[in-house]
Amino acid sequence: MPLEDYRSLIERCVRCSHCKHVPYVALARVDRRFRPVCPSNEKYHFHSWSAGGRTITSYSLMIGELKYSPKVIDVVYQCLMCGACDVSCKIQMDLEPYEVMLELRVKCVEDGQIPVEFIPVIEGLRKDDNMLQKPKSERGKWAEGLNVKKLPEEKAEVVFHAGCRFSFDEGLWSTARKALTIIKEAGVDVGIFGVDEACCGGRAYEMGYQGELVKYMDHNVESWRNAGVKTVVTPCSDCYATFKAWYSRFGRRVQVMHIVEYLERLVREGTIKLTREVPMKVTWHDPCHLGRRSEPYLYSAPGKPYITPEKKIMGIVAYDPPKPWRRGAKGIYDPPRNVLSSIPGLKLVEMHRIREYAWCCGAGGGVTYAYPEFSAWTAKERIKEARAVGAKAIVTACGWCERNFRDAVKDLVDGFEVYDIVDLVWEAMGR
Amino acid sequence: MSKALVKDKKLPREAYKALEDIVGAEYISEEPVVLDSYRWVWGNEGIFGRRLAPFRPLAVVLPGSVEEVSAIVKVCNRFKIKFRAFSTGFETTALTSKEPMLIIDLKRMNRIIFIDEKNRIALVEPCVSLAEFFYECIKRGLRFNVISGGPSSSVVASSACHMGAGFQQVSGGYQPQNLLAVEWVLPTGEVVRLGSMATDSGWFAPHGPGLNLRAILRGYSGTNGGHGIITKVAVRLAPWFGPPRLEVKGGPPIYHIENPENLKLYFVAFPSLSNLIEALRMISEEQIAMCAHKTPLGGISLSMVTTESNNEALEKMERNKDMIQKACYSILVLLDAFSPKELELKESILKKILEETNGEVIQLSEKERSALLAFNLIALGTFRESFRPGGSFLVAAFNDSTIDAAANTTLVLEDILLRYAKEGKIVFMPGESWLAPIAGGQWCHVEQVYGYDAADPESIKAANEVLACSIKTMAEKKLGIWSDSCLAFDDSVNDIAGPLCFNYHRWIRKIRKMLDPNLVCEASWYTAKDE
Repeated sequence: MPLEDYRSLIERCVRCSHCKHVPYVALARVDRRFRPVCPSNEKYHFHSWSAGGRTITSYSLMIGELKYSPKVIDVVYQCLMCGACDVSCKIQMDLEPYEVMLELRVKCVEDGQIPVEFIPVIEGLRKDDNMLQKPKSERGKWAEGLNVKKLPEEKAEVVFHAGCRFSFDEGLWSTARKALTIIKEAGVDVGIFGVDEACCGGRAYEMGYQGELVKYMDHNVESWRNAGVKTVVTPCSDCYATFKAWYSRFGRRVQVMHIVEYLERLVREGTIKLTREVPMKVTWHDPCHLGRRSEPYLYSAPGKPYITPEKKIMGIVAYDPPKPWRRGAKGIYDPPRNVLSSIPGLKLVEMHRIREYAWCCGAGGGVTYAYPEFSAWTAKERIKEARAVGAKAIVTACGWCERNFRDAVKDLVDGFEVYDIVDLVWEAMGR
Repeated sequence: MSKALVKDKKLPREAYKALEDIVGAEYISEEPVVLDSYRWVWGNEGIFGRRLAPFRPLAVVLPGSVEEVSAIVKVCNRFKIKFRAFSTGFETTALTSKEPMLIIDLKRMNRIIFIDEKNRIALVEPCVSLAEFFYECIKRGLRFNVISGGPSSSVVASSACHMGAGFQQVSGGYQPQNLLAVEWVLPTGEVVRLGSMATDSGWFAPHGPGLNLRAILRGYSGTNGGHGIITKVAVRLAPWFGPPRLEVKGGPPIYHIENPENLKLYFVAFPSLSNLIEALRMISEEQIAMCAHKTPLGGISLSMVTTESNNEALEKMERNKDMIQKACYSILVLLDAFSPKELELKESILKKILEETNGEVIQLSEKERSALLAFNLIALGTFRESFRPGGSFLVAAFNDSTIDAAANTTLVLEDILLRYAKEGKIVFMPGESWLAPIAGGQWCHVEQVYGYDAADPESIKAANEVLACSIKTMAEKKLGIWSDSCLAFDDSVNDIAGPLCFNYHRWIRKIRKMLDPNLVCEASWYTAKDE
C-alpha cells in the first residue's frame, strides 16, 4: 500500500499541532506539566519530530522536493510509533497520521534508507526468528521444568506465546513462568511452542519491514492451526497488538487474549484467589500496544490503504462504504485496573497521562536499537510522572516496557520498583 | 496553479553562527527536512496552489527567553534577515510568507508566569495555549476567552498579534480589549514594556502609568508579526462560576463532560433570522449569559461538532433533517451563575426572551450536550465544523459591526456561497453565519465560514473565487471593510480597503517604516509594501 494512496489525507493535515498534546478535553484532568504526549517532539523540539511534521516529510519526499539524508532518517525513526498522536489528531479530524508514518517507514525500507543499527537486528530476525539477536536454540529455555505441553508435537486449545522479550530476557523469565503456571493450574488446556516459537513480526513491521510481518503472520497462523490452537494467550503487549491489530490489518483474525484479560477472568470467576496483602502504592502504566494500538481493524484491506473510496456529498469528504475509524478508545484499559484493585492492601494511584493518551515507555518503533538515549530519556520521563503522583512502583504488562523501565530506575538511589502485573498477582495468591 | 520549489536560500554562515551562539546548536536548524515542516500550513493552497510553500525558510530557531529573542532580532538587523515569530503555529499568518525568512518558533517560551486571583489578571508567555490556560484559570475561579481558532491557539497571539473572536466574548469582552501590559521586542531588538509596565508599576493596565501603544502594537486586526515579537502579555480575566476542574469521563473522540453546577447550555432555534437577532440582542443586553452566539455554521456545526466523523455527520443530516434545518437559525446560550438561585433567575429571563422571540429550545442528547459544551468552553469542535469536511476553510463576510449590519452582510453574500455550494465545490448551507455579540451587544462579530477540499484543485479554485467575489461585493455595497488580514496576504485587502478608508494603509506603512527601519519583519500579513 504505497504512501501515495494516502496523498489526499496528507494534504488535509492543517498543522494544528494537536498531535503533540493530550487531547484537549481530557487535558482537564491532567497537570499542565504533563500535557505533552509525543516523546519525539518533546525530545527533539522541532515540528518535524511530530506526526504533523512527518506527514509533511512524507509529502515532500513523495513529490520529490525532499531528498533522503541522515537527518531525514533521524526524523522518520526518532519516533516510538506509540500512536498517541493518532488519538489526539482524530479527536477532530478524519485523518490517519499513524498509517502515514508507518507507510513512510515501509517506503524508507524499500528505498534502503534505514538506521544502520537496524541491519543486525533484522538479520538476526531472519536467521533466528527473534528481535534480540539471540540463538533460536535458546528460545524455550525460559520454560524448562514447567512440564507443559510442547506444540506442535502435542495439541492444545490454548497456546501461551511468550514472545521474544520474555523468551530471551532472563530477568523476565520468572514472570513468564508464573503466568503460564497460573493458566495451567486453572485447568486450561495450554501448551507452548518453546524452541519452535517464532517472532510475531510486529516490531519489525513498525520499523518498516512489512514483508517480515506477513511472513511471520503466515507462519504463526499456520502453526497454530496445525497444533489445534483456538486461543493465543500472551504476556507481551507488542505480540498482543500484532496478533489482534496488525494480523487483522492483513486479513487474519486470531482469537487472542493478553494475560491481564485472562487474569481478570480468573479473578472474577474465583478460579484464583487473591488473599495475601501486598501493601504497596503503585501506579499502572498502560502499554501503548495493550491500549490504543491494540484496537483491531474492523475490515481488512491487505495491500491497500486503510481508507475506503472517497465520496463527496455536499462538498463533504466521506468514505463509501463508511470506514470504521480506530481512535484508541477500545484498548485494554480496565482489566489491569480491575485486577490491581482486587489485590488486598495494594493502593493504585493513577498517573496524569493514562489510557489512550498514556506516555510511552520508550521501547517502541525500533528506537531502542538506533537511538537508545532517546529510549532511556522517554522511560525516565515516565518514571518522573509515576513518582510525581506518589507511587513507589510502576506496574505494567509488557516485557519491552518492563525492561526499559528497569534500566531507567537502575541509577535511582532512593529506590523505585518495576513490576509485571503477573508478579503482583502471584504474590497476592500467596505463592 | 501549483508553484514549483524555488532554489533554497541560505543564511550567511556568519549569521547562522551568531544565531547558534545565542540559542545553542540544539535549538537551530537549517536542515531541509526540518524547514519543510515550517512551510506547510492550512491556507497555503489558496495562495500558492498547494500546502507546501514554494520556498523553504532560511532557518528555524527556538529561543528560550526574551533576552535570546532580542539578541536574535539584533542579528537579523545586522545581516538584514527577514524574520517572523510564531507561537503555537496554527495559522496561515504564522508561517506563510512572500519570501524565505528566518522562523522564530517560540515553543520553549510557554510559562504561565502568574495568575493574580484578586486582581483578575494573568501574565503569560507566547506558547501557552488557550485550553491549558483555561484549565489553569478555572482552578482559581477565573477564565479567559477562548477564540474560535480552537484550544491550541495562543493566548499571546489571540490578544496581541492577531484577529480573533470567541464564544465567550458576550461576557468576557473582546480579546484585544483584555490585553493589559505587554513586553515587546521591537523590530530593532530593543525590549520595551507598555502600559503600566512602562513605568515598572505592575502588569495591571494597558493605559499606563506609562506608554500605551496598543493601537500601534496590534491595532484592530493585529499586525501578525509585522511589528516585532511579543514575549509576554498580561490579560484581564473574567469570573468563572463552574467547578475548579471539569469532570471528564469516557473516551475519544467525544469525551463526556459532566454538566458543571451553575452552568446550563441551551440550543435554541428560531423561525427567522430577525427573531434570532432580536433574541441575541436581548440576551446580550440582559447580561445573563457566559456565551451567546448564533451557531457558527448552523446545521453544519450541529452535525459536525457532535459527531465522530464526516460519515456520521452526513448520516445525522439525513436522519435528522428537521433538526438540522432548524439549526441553521439557531443560537447557543451558556448561562452561568454564582448560585443555583441566580441560575434560576437567569433561566427565567431567558425563557421570557424566548417567548417574545419565538425561540424553541431544542433538546440535546448527552453526547450532543457534551460536545457543544466543550465547543463553548474551549472551542473544541471548531476543527470538526471547519476543517474536517474537506481539510480547509475560508471566510466570506468577516467583520465587526452592529448586529443588524453584520447580519445584513451575510444575507448579501449568501447567494454567492450557495451558488458554489450547489455545485458541491464548497461546503455551505443556507443561513450559515456566525454572529457573536461582544460585551453588552453593541458590537457583533460576524464570520461566514465555508469549507473546501484542500486536496482538490477545483475546490480550492472555487473557494478563492468566492473569497474574491465576497470582498468585491462588500466593497461595492459598502458593507463594511473586510477587516481581518488573516486572509489578506500581501496587501490584497489593504489595496482594496485602503482607498475606501482614509488611506489607512499608507499610515500603517509609515508606522512600520518608523518602527522597523531595516524592514526585517516579514510583514506579508500586515503590510509588506514600502511607501
